[in-house]
Parts: sequence; C-alpha cells; structure tokens
Amino acid sequence: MDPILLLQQLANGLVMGSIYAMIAVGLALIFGVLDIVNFAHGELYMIGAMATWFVAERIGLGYLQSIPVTTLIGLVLGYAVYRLVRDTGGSIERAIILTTGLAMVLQSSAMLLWSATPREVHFPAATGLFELGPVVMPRVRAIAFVAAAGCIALLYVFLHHTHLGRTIRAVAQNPRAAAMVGINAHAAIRLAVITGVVLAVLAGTLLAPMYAVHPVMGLGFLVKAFAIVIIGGMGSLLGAAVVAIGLGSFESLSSLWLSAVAAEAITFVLMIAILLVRPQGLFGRSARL
Amino acid sequence: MKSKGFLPLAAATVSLLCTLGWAQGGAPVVVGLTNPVTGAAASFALPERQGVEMAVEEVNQAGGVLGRPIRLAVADNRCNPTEGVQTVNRLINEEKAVVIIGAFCSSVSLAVMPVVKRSEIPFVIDVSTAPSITGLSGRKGNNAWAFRISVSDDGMAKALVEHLAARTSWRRIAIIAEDTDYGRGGTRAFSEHAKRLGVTIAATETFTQATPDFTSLITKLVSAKPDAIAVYMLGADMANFMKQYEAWGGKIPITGRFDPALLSPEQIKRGFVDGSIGVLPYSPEVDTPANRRFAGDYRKRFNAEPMFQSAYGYEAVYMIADAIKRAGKVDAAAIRDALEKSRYQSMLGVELQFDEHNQAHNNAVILLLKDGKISIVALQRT
Repeated sequence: MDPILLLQQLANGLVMGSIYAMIAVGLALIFGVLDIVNFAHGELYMIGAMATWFVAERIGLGYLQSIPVTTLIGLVLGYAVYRLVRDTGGSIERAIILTTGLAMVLQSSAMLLWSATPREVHFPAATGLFELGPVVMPRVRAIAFVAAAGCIALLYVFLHHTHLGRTIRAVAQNPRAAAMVGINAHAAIRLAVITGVVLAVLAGTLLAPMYAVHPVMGLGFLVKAFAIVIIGGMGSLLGAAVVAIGLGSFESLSSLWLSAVAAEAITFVLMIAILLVRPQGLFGRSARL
Repeated sequence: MKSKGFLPLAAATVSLLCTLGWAQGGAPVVVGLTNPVTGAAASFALPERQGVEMAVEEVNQAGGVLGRPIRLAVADNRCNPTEGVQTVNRLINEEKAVVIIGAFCSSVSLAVMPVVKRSEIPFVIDVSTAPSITGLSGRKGNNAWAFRISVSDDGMAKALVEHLAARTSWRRIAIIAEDTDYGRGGTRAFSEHAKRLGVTIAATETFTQATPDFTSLITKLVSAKPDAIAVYMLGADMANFMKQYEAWGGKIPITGRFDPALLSPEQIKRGFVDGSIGVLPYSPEVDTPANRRFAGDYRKRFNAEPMFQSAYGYEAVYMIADAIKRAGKVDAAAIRDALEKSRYQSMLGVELQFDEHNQAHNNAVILLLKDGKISIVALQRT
C-alpha cells in the first residue's frame, strides 16, 4: 500500500467526516430536545445551498456576501420549523408526516423557483489546491473543514459554557425538572430547533462551492446523517460528531480496498449490528447533548 | 350573423372537400405510436412525438403511401410496461394500426415485444437503448415482428471504443459508473470492447445514485494513472462529479457516455478536461444534406433543437412508409417482410439495414472538446 495514498485518503476522510458532522449535529440537536426526527433536514441543507446560489450568482452579490442572507433565511426557516413541530405532543407519526411534508414542500418549491438544472457557485478566493506535505486537496475543501470544525466547536462552547446553552441541555435531559427550576422550556426548545436548522442551512452555504447545486442534492446527505445520528445515539451531539468523523474516515480508507457501493452497504450493516447490541447507540441517553 | 356563420361554413366545406379528396385515395393507413405522453418521462418523449408527427405530415404532403394518407394514432403508456401492453392492444384492435412505433422506455418495449409477436404486427423501436432488446428481436431472436433502429448502449460503446483504439493514443482507461442497469451495462459493454481492441481497463468504480461526494473515488481514479476516464452517469450526478473533478485539478480527459455540452459554459471556457471525447446517438450539427434540412425544418416548426428522439422518430416513419411502398399493399406480414429488406439512407450518412436480430446499425456521433470548442470528429458505425 502506497503510504502517501493512505495519508491522502485519511485526510479526505477527516474532511468528509467534518462535513457529515455539521449536518448530523443539527439533526441530533433537534431530536435531543423534541424527540422527533427531522426528515426535512436534507432539504434544509439543499435550501441553504440553493439560496446561496441565488444570492451569490443570480443576484450577483458574491459568495461571502451571501452568508448573512442565508443565515437570515436559516433563522426564519428555523422559526417556521419550530412552529410546525412544537405541538406534536410526542406523537412520532405526526412528526414524521409533518417533517416529510415539509421536505416535499421545500424540494418542490426549489424546483418550481429555480428548476432542476444543476448550478455552480463560485468562490474565487478558494480555487486551486491546498498542499500540506504530500497531502493535497482543493482549497475549498480545506476551508470547509476549518469552518465545519469551527461551527461544531462554537456549538459545544454554546451548549456547555453559556446560560442559554445550559437551559437547552437541561430541557433535553429532563423537561419537567428543568421547568421546576424555572427554565422556560418553550424558549429552550425554540432556540435548539432554530440552531439546528441554521446549522443545516449554513452547511448548504458552506458546501455550495464544492458541489453541483440542485433541488435533490439533500437526499444523499440525509441518509448518511440518519445513520450517523442513530449509531451515535439519538440526540447525542458528541456521538454524532465522533461517528461522523469515524464514518468519513471509514468510507475514505475502505475505498482503497472496497467499492464505494460495498462500503455503503457495510455502513448500514454496521448500523444494524450496533443497534442490536446497543439499542441506545454508541453514546446513548446517559450522555445526551 | 352572416360573418359569424361564415367560418364554420368554410371549415365544413374544407373538411368535406378533404374527406372527399382522401376518399378518392382510399382510407388512411394507421400507424400507431405508443410512448409516454404523461408522467416523468413525458418531457423526453415529446421530441420523439414531434419528429414522428413532422414525418407523417411530410409523407402525406408528398402523396402518402400507395395513394393513401397515413393517420397517426398516439397512445400514452406513461413509461409503464403494463400500460404499454394495453396501449398496443388498443392501437391494434380499436385503431386498426398496421404498424406500431414505440415504446420509448426500454422496459416498456420489452413488455410490448411478445404482444406484437402474438398479434403479428410489425413494431419499430425507435428510441429504447437497452442491449437486451437486440437478443430478443429478429428471426434469430425468435421475434420477427420487432425491429430496432435506435442504437443500443452496447452499440454506442462499440463505436466509441473503436474510435478511441484507432484514432487516439489512449491505452489505459478507468471507468466510473452509477450502480444502475445503465451504469453497469455501460461498464460491461465498454470493458468488453476495450478488451477486444487491446485497451486496458485501469480501474472500475461504481457509486450509488445521488452520492454527494466523489472525493475518494476521484483519488482512486487518478491514482490508477489512466489516459482517460470513461463516465456512465446521468444528469445531476454528472454535474456534481465534474464540479468536484475540476476542483481536484482534473487534467485527465473524459470519455464514455459523455456529452461535453453538459459542462457549464464557464467550465468549457476555462479549458477544463480539454481533449475529452464523447459519443452521442445524434447531433443536429451533423453535416449531411438530409440532416441539415431536417434540423432546419424542425427548428422552424417547433422552435427547439432536434434531439436524438426527434431524429429517430422521424426516420422510423420514413422507413415504415418506404416499406409499405415496397410491400405494395397495406398488410402487416407484407410490411414486415419489406422492412426486413430495408435499405434506407439515414440522415447520419449510412445505409440502414436490419441484421438477423432486426437491429439497424446507424452511425454514432463522436465529439471532441478541444480549445473550448465542441466539434464532431467522426461518424462511427455502431
């Protein structure tokens, strides 16, 4: 085995893992406070990317200038998602139908507004290759890695070292006890859902210069994010982040010996096996949020 | 009142005259067309129907066949095999079609083939590309009623690899394909013809449709150091792969079922994958007198570029009209026998004949992307 190729695929895997993590932590956050799976998460990521294209390319503001606009879109969508799911009253069916419906609405709206044509987002400052010793990658991927890692670190600090963040964790761990000590559970849930949605939308903005942007781009990541959140333990942020990095590295390294299709099959077999042995996931309830 | 009554009266007179005129020439010859008029495939099937309609009109303007006009009966199969069979039964039993064109989607054509055999009605497949249709058609395939003029995916691979082996220095080619019938079929056909012609397959990679990230695959393809990368993937996946391949500094040219026109204009301007060679079943730019005239008339009439579906639908009608004329009577068996002996000059510059599998071998169009321009470098027999 060529050691440089090994190192290269390891670096590719870390970048991939950080991208998976950025999408999966939002999903885990929303599950953590509300116990619902957000089936619209992939479409929220897609809306982030398509809105970036619209603002940066169609309107012509440029890529960096599009970030505040998409953040704002994320906040608005986050609030809308919160209003949609806050009263599901723990009904899993209702949550599934609502978020699946939302996914369809978002995808069809994007098709209607912007058509299914794949689009290109340019980030001129990030063209070319970034080299670190023998390891090479497109500069745009290196930037995505740093930004995704930064977002996750910020989220960690927010949840563990700020008062607002602690209220979210308290509500996730025990809503009734949190209410008893005077925490406004509704406000905490609202904040958590909005944060999760903004993370998905911003992931779309972050990855838009890397991928072809079109209305069905969310599907591939959504399936991966589900696997990550389930293996990591539903609602566990640490679990989601660790498993995301692990999955990215596994896919990348295994591609040296296996076909991509086989690696994907193994991922899901692994998911089933872990659920059989540890139904609560690798980082189950006890370590939630 | 008078002016209001004039138009319907005029219309009635004209239609009466027309009816009388046709009545003199005999009842219309019914040609059936089964294809998806609605559903997900409908937008791709519209150019086919337009090509068919245009040819029927032209043939009728030139006096029809055996002094009788052709009437086109269209039935919507929605790209569904069950509905395909129903439409064909309806076309035969109710519309009294003597020959049927269709069925667009390969799965539907395959479902319809036993039906036309039982009903003994010639069936001209003009668009479907699944290689499996060839083996099940013609006297050798035990179905003398099914004919195919469209080029199978295998024929496309044959034309492309023969061109690459003869006209380029590429001797190591890597393949990346989606994990579907289309991708796997393309990979198999390309590999077989490569092996036959002494071209090495340096690597074969498959991926699930809608895969978001191609990084590890691109790393593997490039590390195999091929002379070219053959791609078998569709639509958004192709755009996504190309975007990432460019970001990775992709220098190795692309080939396979690659249409350079699918790259964005900026990518072409940047000189990305310069030297790539693709293959198409048809191009309106092919410079033969017949194609220039067809493409010009088509653009004028439909305000759109003719697609391969348009050209093949158009030629299907002309081949059928030619067979009916040679048969000398409107009889399904006589038309089939005449079709078998077809010698038809295609717009792509080759004389179409059906082999023992009733497969015609039209030219494929070989395209080169060079210095920011796409040009036709060869017409290669499939």
